[in-house]
Amino acid sequence: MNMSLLRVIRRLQSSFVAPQRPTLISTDAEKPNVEGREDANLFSLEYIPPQVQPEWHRNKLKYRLERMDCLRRRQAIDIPEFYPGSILAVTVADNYAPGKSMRFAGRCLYKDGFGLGCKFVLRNVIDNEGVEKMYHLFAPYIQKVELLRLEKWIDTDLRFLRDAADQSICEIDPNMQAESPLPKTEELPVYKGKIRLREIAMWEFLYHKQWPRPYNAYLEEHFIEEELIEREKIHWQTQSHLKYDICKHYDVTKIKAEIMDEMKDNRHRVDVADKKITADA
Amino acid sequence: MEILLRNFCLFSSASVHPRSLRLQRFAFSTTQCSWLPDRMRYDNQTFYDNVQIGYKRGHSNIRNRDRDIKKLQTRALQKLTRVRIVDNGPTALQPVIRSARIIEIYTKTKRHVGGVGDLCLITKNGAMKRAFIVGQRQSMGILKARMDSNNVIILDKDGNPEGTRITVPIPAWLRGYDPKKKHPISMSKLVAIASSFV
Repeated sequence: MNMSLLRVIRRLQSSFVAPQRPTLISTDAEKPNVEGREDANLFSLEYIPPQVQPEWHRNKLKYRLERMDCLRRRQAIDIPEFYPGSILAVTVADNYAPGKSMRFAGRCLYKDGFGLGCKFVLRNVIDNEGVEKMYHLFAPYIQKVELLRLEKWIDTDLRFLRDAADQSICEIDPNMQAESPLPKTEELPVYKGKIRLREIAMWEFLYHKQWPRPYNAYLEEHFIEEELIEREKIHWQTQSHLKYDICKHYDVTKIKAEIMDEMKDNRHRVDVADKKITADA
Repeated sequence: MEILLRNFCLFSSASVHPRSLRLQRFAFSTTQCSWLPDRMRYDNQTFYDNVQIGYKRGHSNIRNRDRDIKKLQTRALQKLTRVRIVDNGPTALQPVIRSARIIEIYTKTKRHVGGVGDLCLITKNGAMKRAFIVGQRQSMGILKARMDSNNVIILDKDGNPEGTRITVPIPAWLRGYDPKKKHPISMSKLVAIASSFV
């Protein structure tokens, strides 16, 4: 017994191999970006063209040129990725302001539009007064767009925050420190909290009638389950057939792949076009 | 009751307008901002993954963008709109029997509708005063702040503000605004009083 053990030990000792030195090369570059969060130069939600009807009104050349212009703007300024619900601060050039620039921080309520017409709205509560400002994302008078906090909510239309009972959701300190967002290799956690609204008489919109209903709003406080179910029934009777209308379906996965292929070559196209313009001028 | 009436409406072409039912139910009438992203142009992405439903108008083109902004209805204050007085003058601090309302709006053409930067006449407790509109619930477009209440500053006959301070933020585009009105308005004094610009 002892002899066999000794033989095993000797064999292991002879076959002992020192461990390799750990390599100091980081493997982050090898990890691909998560599917929903691609590099902005390749794909972004505002590059998806609108579903214009009839089909012969869609002009692919127009969409392609607009995407090239978006890329040109992104080369001049760093526009971070953000979703409705995240906190931003925007500095804008203003003639009459001290220092010639105005800074406004707020929570993004919605982001809508295609290409250079992409608009977003920031909401802040200053001195107990709610203030909202709309910006064009690719406007040349914007000097800086800072991401203070990256959040992703289930709803993309957060206008019900105007009727929130607790207005401290949108109360944002303009001197707030930027929190470093998650890297794009990881998936963003989605915020599923429900926000209490104030009394129905003071509502701006009728959220229980809006379809699809906002997930992040706590409507069960004001309505019984039966009322909400009756609203669903009315919607089912009048408008539910729309989701089966194939002409209105807009499959974005194919378009996304096409856009990604196109944007890979767009940098080269933009350089060529700019060279031609400067050469002619 | 409301639901039965609505079902009745669906199958008969007559009578009751659904909006009037809504007003009977609630004390305040709700505003409907029709130009904001609505369901026709906007979708809540919880519905389906990778499928956007609904016909979206080709609205945000380079060509159409300016036209749509110009067509926006930016003025929304008219006669008998309730108004919030925002400075610390004597009229603002008096207790209120009936909320302050607009009586007249002074514009060149007979527009009957006013917005930020317009003069108007206000009643409070039976007294009539001239006022300058400083904040509006209706959105005025891009880069112009939209407040949550219709704000107003009271002026006297020479266009000087009554109060000494304004607590509420004021739109910053009023700094370079020249109101060409018949009645005098001293913008420099208003801008000097204001505490913060947005």
